[in-house]
Amino acid sequence: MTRLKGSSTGGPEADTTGVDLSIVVPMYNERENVEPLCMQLRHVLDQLPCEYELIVIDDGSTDGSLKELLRQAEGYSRFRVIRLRRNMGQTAAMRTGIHHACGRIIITMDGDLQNDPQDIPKLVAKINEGFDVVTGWRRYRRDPVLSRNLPSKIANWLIGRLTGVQVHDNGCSLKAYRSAVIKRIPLYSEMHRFLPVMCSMTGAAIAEVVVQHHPRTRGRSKYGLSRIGKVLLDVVAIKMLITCAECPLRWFGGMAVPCFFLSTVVTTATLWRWLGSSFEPSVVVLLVIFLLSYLTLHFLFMGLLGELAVRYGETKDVEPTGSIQRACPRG
Amino acid sequence: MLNQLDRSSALAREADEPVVHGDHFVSFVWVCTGETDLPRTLARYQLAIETYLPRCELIVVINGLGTAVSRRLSTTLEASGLPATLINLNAVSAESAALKAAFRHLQGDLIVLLPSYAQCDPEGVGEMIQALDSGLDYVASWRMPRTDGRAGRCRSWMYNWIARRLSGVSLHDINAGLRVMRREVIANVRLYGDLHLFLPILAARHGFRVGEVPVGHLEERRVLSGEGAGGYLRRALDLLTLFFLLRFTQRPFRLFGGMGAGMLSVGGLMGIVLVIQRFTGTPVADRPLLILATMLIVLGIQVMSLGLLGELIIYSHAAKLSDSYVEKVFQGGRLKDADHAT
Repeated sequence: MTRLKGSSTGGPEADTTGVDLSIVVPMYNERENVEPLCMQLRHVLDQLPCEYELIVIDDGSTDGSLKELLRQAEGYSRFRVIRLRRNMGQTAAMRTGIHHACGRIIITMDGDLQNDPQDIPKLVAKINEGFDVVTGWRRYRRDPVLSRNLPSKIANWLIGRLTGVQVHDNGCSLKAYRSAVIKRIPLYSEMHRFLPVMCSMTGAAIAEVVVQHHPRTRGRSKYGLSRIGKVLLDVVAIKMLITCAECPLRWFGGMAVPCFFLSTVVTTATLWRWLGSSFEPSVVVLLVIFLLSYLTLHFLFMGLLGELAVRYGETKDVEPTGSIQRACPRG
Repeated sequence: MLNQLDRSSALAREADEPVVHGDHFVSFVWVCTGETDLPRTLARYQLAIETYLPRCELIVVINGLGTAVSRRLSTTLEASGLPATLINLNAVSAESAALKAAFRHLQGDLIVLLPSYAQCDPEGVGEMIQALDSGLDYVASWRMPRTDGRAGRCRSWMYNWIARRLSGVSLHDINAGLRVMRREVIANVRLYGDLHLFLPILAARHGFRVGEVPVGHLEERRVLSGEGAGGYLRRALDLLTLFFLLRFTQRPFRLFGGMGAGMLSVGGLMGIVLVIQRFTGTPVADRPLLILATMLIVLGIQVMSLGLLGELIIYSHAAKLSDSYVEKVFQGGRLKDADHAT
């Protein structure tokens, strides 16, 4: 059953403008990479048979990236540069870009030349095959094994097991989405890593395409190792959101039921023994009863509060993705 | 004399961005509360405001002081000849609400928030506007040198030190009432409840350039509030609010999930140890460790659930996230008029 989730980020509706493809590139302090990136992108995109637009988000760069970008964009009407006041993070930058994008297909990628623009046609072809989300898979990564590759593999495996969406490479920024699908997804605070997972909530069909990976040649990497803990916590939160964003009472209440049964059983047994003889229940048993009853009520009330939160939010009002086909009677 | 920026929003000015000087329409906003010594404060402010005529306005908000006071002030204002708007709130409202009531009537592109009593030398406004022109979006005042006693200074220093550490914004006097800012700051930063206290921090988080200017300190108020133990408690609660504002509103589960999981695992471990001890003969009934283990398990689950609930609330309202971080949009290298939703 397709679940109703996701929210609209608004912005211009895709089908009303003539743009087929939007490339969204968040960028932070990548001044040296601006020119090669723009050159490569224009080279690849000009060869495609569709109308495209390029949106680069300057995520509060302090090294003059904006000047470089504007120089590259001079007179090039398909090039939009959006400057954020300060560094808001990749997710916020991506969200802004997606909001401003007008194309039917939206492709996000990194601004540091680790993704190769030549992979873009592959992604577009896959979307045109009928998929809603296409993720890049950096199968042959040229990064240090112990500090980047291994933790990455572990993280991806964990995410796959916990959320049920098996994506080999969640961390690859090069992804393509159908505009209608991605614009409905609420994006905030480092959720960009989980976009395929969130998209699958609305019933999107996800495909993977092997893409090239270039190690950093210029500039410094901005992402450290300490994010495994954060990613783990995020996964748990996302898992919760996936399973119960529409009906929290069912999820929390579901946890209350076993506690309720256990507590009833233990209480009854204790009362039976106590009333039957002069046996005094020990502190441990009483504490266990207390714990179980407390947990039952706790989960119940959490479920109620969750229902309240969902009721007054807008995310539940967005329709799931899908298509309508009308059967026209002949004759 | 200018203290520039903060660690968290280290913005360097792009070299060829035009600096807007000169002709501003300044809106002065003054919220009168029970602490205000009306005639005296008005006299002081009048001197400062008059220098900006004719391109200025004064918006006065009477925060629940009664119609008699409001009428008196209204006559005084008319007599003073300043272009003034008087908003009378019937009941005492939260200061953010009073400010928002004033903001609806703003015409200026620069906004000066005047403290309810003459806390800072209004002459400092000129310096602050100059600082704004030299590339800032929000200028806070720094009350120097202070005229209150050691205790007050010490308390203020501690409060600001903690706030600096928590937020990364290096301002020395967050609670100074005299503030100057551009209109964009008001348009983009949502205020409610007690958040006006942290306006500079919120502005910095939105990416506005924040600085401070030392301004002379006066203390001309009628009622001395916030002294003694009550003052400490209130400030401590304010800092707690700040902490939660900064950490909880983005990813609550990161903060609470970690804490909760930690407590749960410690409690669980203790529980296992106790169970083993029970079955190997050592009595556990009277041990405080038992109660502690139970309490930790309970707290751990509770804290984690609160984190999840926070995530659920944020997710449910994610449709309302705004585009308030966007500074400029360029199409083909040229600045485009903002057509994005806020």
